[in-house]
Amino acid sequence: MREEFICKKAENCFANAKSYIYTMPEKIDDDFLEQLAQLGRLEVKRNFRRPFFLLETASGIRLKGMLKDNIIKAGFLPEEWEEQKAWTEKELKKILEKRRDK
Amino acid sequence: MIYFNNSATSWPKAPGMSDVVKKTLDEIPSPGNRATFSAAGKEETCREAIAEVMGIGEAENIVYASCATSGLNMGLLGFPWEQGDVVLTTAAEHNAVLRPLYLLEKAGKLHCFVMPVSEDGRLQAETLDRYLKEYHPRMLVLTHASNVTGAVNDVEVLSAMAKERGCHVFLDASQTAGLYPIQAGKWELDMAVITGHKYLLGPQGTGALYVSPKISIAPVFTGGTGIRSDEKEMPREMPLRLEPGTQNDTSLAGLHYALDWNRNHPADTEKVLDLVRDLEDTLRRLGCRVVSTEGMRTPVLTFVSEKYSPEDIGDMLYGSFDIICRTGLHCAPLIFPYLSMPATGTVRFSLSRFTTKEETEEVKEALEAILA
Repeated sequence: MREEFICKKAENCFANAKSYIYTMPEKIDDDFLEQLAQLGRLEVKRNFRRPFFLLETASGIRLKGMLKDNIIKAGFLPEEWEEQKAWTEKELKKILEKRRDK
Repeated sequence: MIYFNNSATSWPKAPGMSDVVKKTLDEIPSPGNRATFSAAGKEETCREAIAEVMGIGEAENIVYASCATSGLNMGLLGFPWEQGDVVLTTAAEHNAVLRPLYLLEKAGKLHCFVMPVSEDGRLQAETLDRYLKEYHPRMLVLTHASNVTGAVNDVEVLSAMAKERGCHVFLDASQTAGLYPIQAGKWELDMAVITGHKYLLGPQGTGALYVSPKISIAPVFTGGTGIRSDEKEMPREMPLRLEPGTQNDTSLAGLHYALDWNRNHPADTEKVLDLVRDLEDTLRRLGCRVVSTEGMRTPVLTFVSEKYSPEDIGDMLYGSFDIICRTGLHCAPLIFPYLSMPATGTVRFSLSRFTTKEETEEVKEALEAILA
């Protein structure tokens, strides 16, 4: 089983959009969301057919995806996307490591 | 899965079409020279069916294209532009119109002016009148219907105004073919394009450019035509002049089938529009800003919500409810200020003749869950 996530650039209508898709090595569950919630304001839409989460950090990073899925879509601010991307990847790795240690 | 992205690519297609495409693929190809009986028979029949859809009598003025974008490029890049030519277009245009015009403008071939549109995306007659008087354009390039709002332009009136002032008219009928009649002959259009993969319910990779016999355009692509192979230049005869290389026969067979199917099963546009209006009522009740498109329209609706971005709504609908729609600029980036919509775009639902009440009820439930 993979231990790392795979990151791929996601294109949309805007030339300067900085959106990335992270394919996680495991499915997002409530424990994962608990960890994620420490990074910013988390909203979980449990009334949806497939529950959906949205997270926004104080610095404007946006993460979203579905529970029981292994995809996280990230949006970074164009002016500081490189720092934000590096920070996000570091935090995602930390979450994965913590879960592995449990 | 519920599919609400029909103004991009329709789905489902004409029932039975995939069998025809498969059968064509399985058949032995006809000999290379297009003058053979078998090839000519099949090709001409599809061309004639396209001519009927575009409202013209002479099928030889129909040039196969891989889509409307391809036809627009052939028409605009091949047109005999002269020093100082001005082109008028509208803020409702798709990039399929805008980008070839930008390219030509950058190359110094023409000056392009973009006319404003109404709050639902239509070109108003008074606006055109003002621009015709001020700029004395060589050509007007406009869409039959906005792919963002669905508003259908009154091409008969607009074309007559342009022709009165000696201005050529090039119509992009991508959004209306299969829903409303196109009368390229009656409206005296100089050029027009359609695409097969939207409301005509044909395969992707099909489309056509109509070129009036009154004008002549240069080929953008050159190559083999199967006739006059001993000459260096493309033949003068239409449509071969603009059709080098092997055509997409497989998909054209599918398109031909779809055109026949459409002829025998005319779309009940009013029934689909009732579903569109019902969805609009729900969206307004949920606090969304919806573009109000009055009068003749295609089954398209556009909205934004203060609660979530268009992209978030699209992701939620798809990821959590299996509903496919389109979000963002819809390749028509200039229209949004005229609709009083944000520059970041909108959510667009585009329904089909096959959309059911059960499907729209399911979408309404999903919207309630997201936006209430």
